Amino acid sequence: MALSGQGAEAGERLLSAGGGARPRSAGRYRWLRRNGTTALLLAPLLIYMATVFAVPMGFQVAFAFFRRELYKEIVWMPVPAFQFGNFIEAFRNPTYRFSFFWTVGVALFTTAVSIALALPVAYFLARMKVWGRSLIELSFLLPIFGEIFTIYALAYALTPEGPVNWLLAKLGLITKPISFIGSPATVVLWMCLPTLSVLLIRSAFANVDIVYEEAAQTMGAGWFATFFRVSVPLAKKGIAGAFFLGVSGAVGAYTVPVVFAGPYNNWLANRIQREISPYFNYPMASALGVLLTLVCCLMLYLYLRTQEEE
Amino acid sequence: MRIPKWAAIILNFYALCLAAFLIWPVLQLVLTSVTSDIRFPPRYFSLSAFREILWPGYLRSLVFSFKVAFAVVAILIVICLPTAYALERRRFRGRALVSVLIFVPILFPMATYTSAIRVYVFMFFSQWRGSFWLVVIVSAMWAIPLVVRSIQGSLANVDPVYEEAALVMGASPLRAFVKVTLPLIGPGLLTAGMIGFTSAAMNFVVPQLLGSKEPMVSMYIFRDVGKVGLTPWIAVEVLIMEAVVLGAVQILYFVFRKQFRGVFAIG
Repeated sequence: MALSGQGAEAGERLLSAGGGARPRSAGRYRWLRRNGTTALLLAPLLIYMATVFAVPMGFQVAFAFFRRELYKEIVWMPVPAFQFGNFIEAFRNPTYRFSFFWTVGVALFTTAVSIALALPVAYFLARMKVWGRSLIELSFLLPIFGEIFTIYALAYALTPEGPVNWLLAKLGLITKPISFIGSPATVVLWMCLPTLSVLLIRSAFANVDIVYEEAAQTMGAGWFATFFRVSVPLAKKGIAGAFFLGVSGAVGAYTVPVVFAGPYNNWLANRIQREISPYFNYPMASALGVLLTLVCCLMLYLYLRTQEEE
Repeated sequence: MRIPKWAAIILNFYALCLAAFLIWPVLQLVLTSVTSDIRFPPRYFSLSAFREILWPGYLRSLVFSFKVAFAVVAILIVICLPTAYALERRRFRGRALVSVLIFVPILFPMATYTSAIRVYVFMFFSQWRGSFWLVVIVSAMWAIPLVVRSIQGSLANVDPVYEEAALVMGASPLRAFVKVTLPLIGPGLLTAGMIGFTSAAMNFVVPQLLGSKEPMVSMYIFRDVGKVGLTPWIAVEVLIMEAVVLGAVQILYFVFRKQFRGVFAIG
């Protein structure tokens, strides 16, 4: 039944005058009805990330500004304070400074090498008929899931009595065995190997429409030029993603340096652990952790920027 | 793209070389396990390494690793299944943000956030130090993006019309999901479960940094190597775990190849 003109006006007045809260609560109710189940679905993840990730990370930032004091001449305890001493120390102390720049430098270098090594394999896996495809793809998955066991397996091969030294001696390249274990060079070498990057870039190449490559070749471009001037630029989002993800992972390297370079190595993640135990220097450990997190945030920001440009 | 045959052969050879480099240490492990020392080429073949392992301690750590892994899978399913469903089937404000949020555990180094959790727990909940549930809860984090992507990939392949039909026929949303969608995404869920299981059972960083009261097998081997160095019997210990990893990853890869590829898709 249609309302008369006067009736409608009266209704509007009533709503605007007496029922100011009603439309808002009705809106809230509508929002709950529309998004309530979605919020419920997302609740486990959000609660988990907040309690297990965000809160400890927040406290890490807070602890980074704390001082430490010797409690009853027995144990070092963090004392609440707001000072930048730990960050200043991180860059003034040559040990920490070296650790930071070494970790970030190695991460950038090894990820760049890893991406360069991964590009041809990734493209090949995405586009071509590959002999032994399953073996190749499987081999790249192994270190992702069982890194420490793959590293130990490699450690046996790299012992002075192992096959690598045997082969090098047989080829006449060395006269006495090389000690690979305990050397940071072995860590760098391992980190250069493309594993996850191949899988990530492969999917990026698979998303590039083959018609562009065919068009370039029809226009007379060689396969090499087509790859570098058509395929790679079109897959650059994925390649950039793999790079930034790779750097983020590499700056946090812990297991590989511990096994190959020993427990007292220069990688920052290991230094953070040493600051926690045995030194009980929680504020310094937190400050170093914050620095690592900032590097990762920068990588994430750069990654998101590359996605936006597209 | 058409490439010359010689270039294709070189590329294939290069890919196989990389694969061989990643896989051949496993063969080296097998060889070391059945010899009396770690010298190459082997001089004396022997199975004595299998007798030298302290089996009770090793098996205890193996069982503990599996316990942690099963608990991690349960937590991951509770967290990731609803998230994947919301991301795939719902359109809501902040969807892009949640999509980025699930990648946080991979974007930030495991050693960094585990250290933060360690300090936090030591400061406020010292009674939880190295406890089973602390190790489980933190171990679950790394696999979240892979598990969500795996389930999301499966959901994308299931037409929502089946679930809508069940709703129209009077089923509740939960019943429609459990009776219709869940069986259809079974393979993806299994892939997700195996990803979670493998990553948790093999984890070293989390139990090591949190100081797990009972050693997981990765910690057990790490301690053994620290005590006696690389010996044939430790090769056996590593080989057993490699067999578990290889077995799990192989099943994952060969049975659920499509879902597995989708997990590593970015860009």
